[in-house]
Amino acid sequence: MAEKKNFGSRKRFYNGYELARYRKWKGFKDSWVDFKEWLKEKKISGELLKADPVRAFKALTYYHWMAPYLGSGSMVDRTIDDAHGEALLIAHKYMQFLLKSNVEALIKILKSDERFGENEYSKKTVIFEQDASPILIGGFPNLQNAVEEPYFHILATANDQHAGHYFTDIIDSYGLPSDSCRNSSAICGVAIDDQLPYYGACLITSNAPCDSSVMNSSIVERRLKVPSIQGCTPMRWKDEDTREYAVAHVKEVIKFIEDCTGETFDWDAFFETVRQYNEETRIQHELWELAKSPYYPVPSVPNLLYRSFQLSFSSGLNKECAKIGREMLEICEKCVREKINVRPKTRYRTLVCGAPSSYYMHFSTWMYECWGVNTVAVLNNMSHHEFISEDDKEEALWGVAQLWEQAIMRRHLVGGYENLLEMFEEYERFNCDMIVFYDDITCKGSKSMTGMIQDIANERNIPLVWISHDLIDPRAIPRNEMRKQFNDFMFSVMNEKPLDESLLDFDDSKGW
Amino acid sequence: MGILIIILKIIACLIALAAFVFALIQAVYWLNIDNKIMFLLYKIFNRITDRVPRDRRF
Repeated sequence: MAEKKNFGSRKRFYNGYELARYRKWKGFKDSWVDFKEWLKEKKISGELLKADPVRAFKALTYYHWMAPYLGSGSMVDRTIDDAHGEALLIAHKYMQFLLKSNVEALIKILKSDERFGENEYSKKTVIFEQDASPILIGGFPNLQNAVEEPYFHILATANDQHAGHYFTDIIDSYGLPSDSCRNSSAICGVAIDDQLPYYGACLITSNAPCDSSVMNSSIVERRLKVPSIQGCTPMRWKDEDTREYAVAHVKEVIKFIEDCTGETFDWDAFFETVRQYNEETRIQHELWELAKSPYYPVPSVPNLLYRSFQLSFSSGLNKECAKIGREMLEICEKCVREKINVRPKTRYRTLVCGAPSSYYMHFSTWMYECWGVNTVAVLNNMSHHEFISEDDKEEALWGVAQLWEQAIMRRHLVGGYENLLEMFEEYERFNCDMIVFYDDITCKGSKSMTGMIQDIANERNIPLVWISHDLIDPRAIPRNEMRKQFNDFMFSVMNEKPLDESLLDFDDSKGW
Repeated sequence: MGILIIILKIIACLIALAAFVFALIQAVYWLNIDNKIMFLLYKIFNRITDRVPRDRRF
């Protein structure tokens, strides 16, 4: 097959790669902002090597999931490619915060890793599996949390599209059917290939986001050699009868951490973390209010990543999370108040549902650049958004249980059909013109619902497009196939013409 | 007078040096050299980690 040659706005990229020959000219003001913020990002990335150069080098030469993080600069470029003016500044601020937080988390993992020598940090680390919120660690001020799995395959794949399938191939070769959840498969591959860092005082496994996580827990437990407990909470979280069981389970987890570490749960410190979490949630509610406006400036990808981080990694533990949220809120309020339109290409406003593909995080950036489809809301981001009690112990623990029960990818995929149908309410609330549904072909959570969702959309005359992907394996459904699905929908259903024809069909299957 | 000229020359040198460093950083930025170097390193480290003997077991 003849290789596709890039043309138009893709001409600055190497054929087949998402690697640019040179940077995009964005006008004097925006290019200067971009340059300044780029310098800050380089400084943040350098912190990883500065913190412990020996361990960082050892990790780069041992762990296969480590090298993709060298692509973090390119990932930032990809996710902010569609941003201008205030949107550019917001996107950079969000991404800098995420870069910094991820660098800190990786430093924490490397410093605690006993594979590279004994250290004082390992026994002070409590590991949380998958995307269960680590908020309970707020009650143990002398301990640190590690939310490990996302760093080994999801975020690594976001940096490098080929990072994750290295691990899924390993578990497939051990006999697991390749149509099982790629998320859980990948972490099993990491464990089997002996690529989990040796660290931690104890491990809290979970059934977040779904029961496929329980499958991978047993394989991870065998490798880590630390005591573990199942932090499982009910799937049917709306059922009041499950409340007593869920709270009792959270108490068991607290006792387990106390027994493993010798620390005592500090309620004052915990309530302080809860207050911080509530502040983060309050800011998010205000941002959603602003998102209803046509002048909402936040590009979708940095927004999605920030919110995911806030729910699954921070939950009040990272003090900077609320600080950056407040800064963003001020800029957004200014844009809406002064009617500054920094998303001028917008022809359609869309709500995005389902689990986005890790290997094509910047799909929304492409939708905007190629078709003028602006993602204003992400259903997955609307997972747990209730406030947690700041003074009642029982109520607060119920809040923690709910936070686990409504983790990202759980509330809207496996928490019962009525939660998934919230998409139609959100579609109205955010004044959308269409719905884009990411159809992860290995996720069984919403598979049985596709016909019903399509029927409801047809009845209400809502344009809805399914974008199939394979979560972390771009060989099954490459990025270009995802784009083709959307192109077909825009041509045939919306009767539209692209804003940029050079972005319709191009090859970016190699490299990052 | 002589000292003043020397000071002015030093200042001129410093400005020239700063301009050179700035131009160099600008070149790295515009030609995307940072990402190109990282891509090369990523390829090298991937090759190294592919060859590491591992205790692979179920």
